[in-house]
Order: sequence, then C-alpha cells, then structure tokens
Amino acid sequence: MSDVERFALSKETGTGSGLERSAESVSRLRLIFGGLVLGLLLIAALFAPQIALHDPTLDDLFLINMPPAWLNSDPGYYGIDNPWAYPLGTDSLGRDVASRLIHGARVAVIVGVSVACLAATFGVILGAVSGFYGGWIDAIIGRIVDVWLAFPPVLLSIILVALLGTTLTSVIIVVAVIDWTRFARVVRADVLQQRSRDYIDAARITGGSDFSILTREVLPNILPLLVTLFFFEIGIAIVVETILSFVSLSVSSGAVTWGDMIAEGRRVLNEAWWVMTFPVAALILTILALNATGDALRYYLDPVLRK
Amino acid sequence: MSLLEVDTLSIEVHGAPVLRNVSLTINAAEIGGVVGESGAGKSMLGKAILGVLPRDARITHGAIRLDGQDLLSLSARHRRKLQSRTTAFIPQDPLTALNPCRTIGAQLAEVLPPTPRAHRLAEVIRWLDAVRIPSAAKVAKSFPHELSGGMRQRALIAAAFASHPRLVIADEPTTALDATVQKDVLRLIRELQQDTGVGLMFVTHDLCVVAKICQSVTVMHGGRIIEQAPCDQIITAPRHAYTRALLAATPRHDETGRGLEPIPPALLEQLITEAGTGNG
Amino acid sequence: MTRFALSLASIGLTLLGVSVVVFAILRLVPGDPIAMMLPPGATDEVRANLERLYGLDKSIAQQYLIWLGDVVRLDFGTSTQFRLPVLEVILDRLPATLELVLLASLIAGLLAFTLSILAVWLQTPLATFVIDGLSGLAQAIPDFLWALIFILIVTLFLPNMPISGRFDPRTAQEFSTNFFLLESLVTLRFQAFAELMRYAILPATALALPLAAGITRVLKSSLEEAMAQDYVMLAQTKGKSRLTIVLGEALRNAMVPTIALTSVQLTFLIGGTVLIERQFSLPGIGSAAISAVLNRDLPLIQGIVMIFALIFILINLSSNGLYKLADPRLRKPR
Repeated sequence: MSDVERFALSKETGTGSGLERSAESVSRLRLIFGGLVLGLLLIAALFAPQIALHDPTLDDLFLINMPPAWLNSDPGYYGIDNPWAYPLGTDSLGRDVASRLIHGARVAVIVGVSVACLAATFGVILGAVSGFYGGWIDAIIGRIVDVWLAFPPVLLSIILVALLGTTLTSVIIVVAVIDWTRFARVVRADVLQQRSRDYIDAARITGGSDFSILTREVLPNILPLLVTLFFFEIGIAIVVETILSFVSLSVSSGAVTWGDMIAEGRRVLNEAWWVMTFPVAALILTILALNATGDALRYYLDPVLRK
Repeated sequence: MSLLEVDTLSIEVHGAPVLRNVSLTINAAEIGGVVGESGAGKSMLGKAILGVLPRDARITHGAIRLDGQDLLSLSARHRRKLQSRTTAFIPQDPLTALNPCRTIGAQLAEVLPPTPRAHRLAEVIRWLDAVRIPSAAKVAKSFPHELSGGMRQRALIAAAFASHPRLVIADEPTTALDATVQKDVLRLIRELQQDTGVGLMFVTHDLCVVAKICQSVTVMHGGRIIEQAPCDQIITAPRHAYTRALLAATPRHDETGRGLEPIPPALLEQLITEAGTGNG
Repeated sequence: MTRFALSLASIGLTLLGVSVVVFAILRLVPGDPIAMMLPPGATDEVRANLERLYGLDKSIAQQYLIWLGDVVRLDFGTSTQFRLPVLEVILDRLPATLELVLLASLIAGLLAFTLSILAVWLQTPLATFVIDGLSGLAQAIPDFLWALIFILIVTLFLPNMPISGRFDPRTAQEFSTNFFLLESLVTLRFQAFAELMRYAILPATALALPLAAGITRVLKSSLEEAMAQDYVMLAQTKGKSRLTIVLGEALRNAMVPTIALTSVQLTFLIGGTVLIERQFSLPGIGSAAISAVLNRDLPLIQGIVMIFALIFILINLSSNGLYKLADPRLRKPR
C-alpha cells in the first residue's frame, strides 16, 4: 500500500534526475490519463442506472457463466441472439458483469471520496494543531499516532468493520479513523518546518492570530502535498473496501461492489475467469489514475517543483 | 621530454566550448600554476588530465601526453589503470572529498602501492606523520567527521602522495581552509613535492599563492590561455591586461595598506567578446 | 544508557496505549461471543458458567486489568474458536508467517538492490526510465491486487503452479518444526525445499513487490546523490571502476535513508500477510486473525494484534540501531 514516506521522499527523487524538461510533459500525460479514467469512473458512478444494460442484481439461471461477447461462440446455447447484450459476460448467477462493474463504480466513488474527505479533515486539523502548538498537545497527538501505527491497518479495519457492522457508513468511518494519521504526520512535519521560517515570524509580528497564520501562511504551502495525499487516499479507501468484501465483510443491503465481484470471481475462477478479471482491471486502472492525477496535480500546484 | 604535455586541448559541454586550444607543459620536480577566475575552465582542465570529466563533456580536439604516452588514445580501462599509479589528485573541499562512511586509514591504505597486509597500518601511520597529523595511530581509525577541515586536507594530501605518483593535480587545495591553516598546508604541499620530485599542477584563483610556490604560470580566462610565462615574469612584468588586472585584484602581503582594485569592466567586456568570437 | 531506558519507556507507553485500544474496541462494540459458543437451547446457568469462565461477569476496568496482567505474562487466554490457549495457536502458526515475511523481504531486497545498482551503474536514460516505470507500477498496486493478478495468471496459464497452502498434503513431509523452508534447508533436503519454494514464491513475491519498489526508489536516488560527491571523483582518480565505486563508496552512504524507509514499509509488508495468507490459504497468524474476526474469537484477535504491535515496535526500534551501524556520523563520539 502506498505510504506517507513516499510523498516526503518523492520531493527528493523528483530532482536530480536530469530530466527536468520532460517533467512537464510527463505530468501532462499523467493528467490526461488520470483525468480520462477518473472521468469515466465518475460518469459510471453518476449515471449507472442509465448506462447499465441490465439490472446488476438480476439473476438469470439460463445465463450462468457466459463468456464475454467476443469469446461467445454460441450465444444460442444461452438463449440469446446478440452476445453484445452481455459484452463482458455473466457471473455464476447469470448477472451481467458489465452492468455490475458500472454499478460497482458507485460504491467505489462514494467510499473513496467520503473516506478521503473525512481522513483529510481530521488529519489536517490534528496534524496542524500538533505541529503549530507543540508542547503537550503535540506529545499527546504524537503518542496517539504512534499507537495507531503499531496496528496493521488492514487487520484493524477488518476487526472494526466486523464489530461495527458491515454498512457503507461504518466502512467509511472505519477507514477514515484508521487513515487520518497519514495526513496528520505529513501535515505536522510540514507545519513544523514552515513554522521555523521567517515569514511566519513576520506574520506574528504584524499581529496575525494563530488561526489566520495557519490558514493563510501555512496551509497554502502544504496544499500541493495534501492534494496528492487526498487522491492517494481515495485509492487506498477503494482498495480497503474491496478487501473487506473479499474477506466476506462486504457492504450488505444488496449494493453491488467490485470487492463482491472479485470475491465471487475468485470462487469461480476456474470456470469463468472474466468474472474476476474485469473488476480487478477496473480497480488497477482506478488506482493508477488516482496516483497519476495526484502526482500531476502536485507538479502543477507546487511552484518549487515546477521551477 | 616533459612529464605532462597538454596539446591544443578543446572540450565542449553540450556543444558549448569550455576549453579552447589549451596547451601547457609541466616538468618533473616542477610546480606549474594554473590561474583564473571561476568558470575559466581550469578545473575542467584538471579533470581532463585526470580522466574524470563529467559524462556530458566531450574532448573535441587535442592530446594529453604523460611521459610521452598519449592518454586519450588508451582504452578507458587501460588509462584508469595507468593513471591510478601515475597521477593523483588533491581536491578543493576536504569536507566532501572523503567518504564519510570509511575510516581515514582505510581510504589511505587503498592508494598505497602493493604492501603486505601486516605493514599497511605502519605505512598509513608513516604517511599521516609525514603530513604532520598528530596522534596518527588514532586518526587512522577515525572517521572523516571526527577531524577538522585542516586535518582532512592533510589526510587527502597524504593520500595523493602515498600512491607515489609522477604527477599531482591540486585543485584549489587551500580555498576551503582558514587563512592560518592555508599557509601550513601550502608549505606542506611544496615540501612533499620537493622531497618526492613529482610534477605538480596547482590550480587556483589566487595569484598570490602562485607567486609563492610555482615555477611557471598559466593564466586562463573563458576557457582559453591568456598568458603563459615563468612565475617571476608574470608577477613583475605581466604582459596581458587581464593578468595585470588579476594581479591588482589580488591582496599582496608585501604592500599593506594598498586597496584592492576590481577588474575594470571594460577589460572584462573585451575579454568576453574575444572569448565569444575566438578560434575555439 | 539513559537514552536506552527512555526508548524502552517510550515503547512501554506505546504498547500500553495499544493494549487499551485493543481491549476497548473489542469490548465496547456490540457482539456476543458467548452466544456464538452456546449450543442451541442452552440454559441461563450454562451461559453464566461460560461467562464466569471467560471472566465476562466482571466490570470493564477489572476485565482490562486482569487481561493486562495476563498479557504481560504472555497469557492471552483461551481461543473460543480452537479451544486452545491463544499463545499455543499463535506459536503454532507464527512460523508460516515469519517464513513468508522473511522470504518476501529477501525477494524485495534482492530486486531493489539489483535494480537500483543497475540503474546507477548503467546511468543510461533508457535503464532509468524502465526501472523508474517498473518501480512506480509496483508501488502503486497494493500486494492484495498483485496476489489476485498472480492467481489469475496461474489459473489461466500455469495450471501446475500451486496457489493454495504451504505444501502438497499428498507428499507429506516430516518436519520437527513449523519452519518448513528453513528446516528443509538446514537439513539439506533440497528437493523438499524446492517443492516448498514452489508454494511460497507467489505469495512472497506479491508481498515483496510494493516493498521492492519503495526501496528501489529511495536507494536509487540516494545512490545518485552519493555518486555526485567529490569522494566519488577522487575514487575515480584512484583507478576504481564505476561498479566498484557504486558498491564500495556510494552504497554505504545511501543506506541511512533506505533503512529509514524500509523499516516503515516492512511493517506494511507484515500487515499485508493478513490478506496474502488468506488469499493463498496459508496457515499463518494472518489467516488465523481473519477467521478469528469472522468467528468473534476475541482472545485470539487480541493476542494476534498485540503480537503484530510488538513486532512493529521492535522493527522501528531496530531501525534506529541499524542507522548507526550504517553511518558512523550517527554513532556516539568516542
């Protein structure tokens, strides 16, 4: 799983490669790729009922494990005329893989964005307070972060979701509660560094309140990093949601998720490889797009990196 | 035959000339100074002779001969092997020129000519004594960060001479040191040079230093040679305006109270245009 | 000595915090482990007896203190699922996890050192581009997805490659410990070792890839930085080849940032065993943890989480010691 250190260090790795001229074009390519994939994802999530050809939860015993359209040599065997009515095939209950994929994007987007917003809000506030005030507040928050980091995050989320109940809300809260430390650590380190700089003293001397110094002087400086972290966190949340489905802690109430599809596909992998392959591919594409967008935006937002 | 002959050497970096038709000779048991401001190409010249040019630098013309052997015609491997025994380097900044993770002794021992393992430590200590490092046995086991800048530079000087080279290239070896330490280090380099009879190319921006230790001087600017003459002639009767300007800008210990004169802008201008349209 | 005592106290404090969190989240949330153990139609008396047996009739604070006292003596209670002492279950399954972690770390280290040294040694734009691209990809995709990709590829194209378990139960091997890989190696049973490796290589590689990518990135940029230093130029004048310089001069200087990152990422790798073991049906503590969660086996969950926390904290502690080994500047002045 991607981690905080990577961001802190990517600052160094970005320079010195001697390829500064191509950094611009690489960033543009990343943004195009990321924007394209994320745009499709968003469209799928927003308009799933309109786009999907079939009801994603509708079983059809005649259509069990039907292969994708271009491999479907005998549609008549399944009692259909046009195999392209089920472009990516069907699963072991005869449900349309393509429609499930589209509806699954919905849960992915909801979970990813909500978790990232929650974790970022908590993490930024606690990290900024910790770094800006120092002293005993920093000591307490630092200790909490230490305790948090002593748990395997995936195991902790599995335990918490199992105990809190497998609803969409509890999944979102659990992942956010576990992952706020990512933001807190980065923000704290950056605030500590910024605090020692002259322009903060200058703001103090001219009579700025703590809050205004934080929001006007410190936060804008760490914004590029936060945006990158935010996009990475969306990816992490989507993967964790998939993992929860995979260990049979899926979001109940009949919602379609990529995790469910993967878990189901894993069971029937020997008979119908497509059931698992497409959601795995969608997940990988989404993660890569989120990473690419985050990195590209960081490049465009950070004047130091652009120089 | 001279020890070192650089013959009409030209070097480009990304197509931009940094050395143009530079020729110079250094004889055994002689110190030749190379003087110029930063960017004059004097360090590049040293690197070219040592065979450690940066990757993007390209030799476009000329030859470098050591004892009559053309170094540029050798294979990289052969040249490295030959030069590891015949040339040595005293770098500018003693803070970054020693590997922080290895002891002084280990970094000195590896340049010694083949020595039985049992005698190596004794030989290292002998060299550390030779550059007047106190408590040499302890220093041999120390890491670079445990020594002062002056001590590190002495260790680097020991490492340069310990390989019994024929030619030593010193690139501003005193620039990074305190004024009081500078004098000692300078004296040390000259003594070692005289004792061992090596040829020494002394690269510096400081004509005053050159006056103290060199027999001949090459003045460089903008990648080309401005003036080349025996040392006393350069000091007493510089022919080129740039050399005179450089001399005027150099603090001289014998004429206290006289202010320093910056290089006249008009002269600089003229030199820059010359460099731009020259026969590079 | 005082610094050592301080870091010990700090570990103690963190572990205490961990224990509070572990105890709290498992006690303060709904879920009735007793109900899951009771046979249908059990009387209240049976229930009360069971509650007393597991100490569930006392107050929360009392339960915590009793539990903590036991934990300090490594007594995590009895697993409700296996009906065995938790420590026994953990010790029985820990070897599988440790071997997986060890193999994955070895693979990650081998890949990362080879690739970053190669990139810095070759110094060509193509090698840099390829190695940067590969490590970027390996790092973006989490181990869980790498495992799925491997399972997919094996199922479709390599039907003879095993993707479940540690060994083939039909060719049962005799082992006196649960460290199968290590034992077969030490007792020189190379055929058994090769067979075990066939089972271990996929889960270990899936686990290793993100770590390998992380190490590669840091090591490569640290090596590049070290290669720009003056002492490298000086080493060149001493007639050393580029590879000798990378290995002999730059590598040690690049170790400190690498160790710093690796120790953090190693904890991610260890956390990743939970899922990888489940995906490849390996009998380690990770898969035990998931089955404990699904069966509400509270004592086992608590024991395993505490073990993980202890390992994580120990890794962070030992990385501090490793810095000093790698960089003499961080050692105490003599």
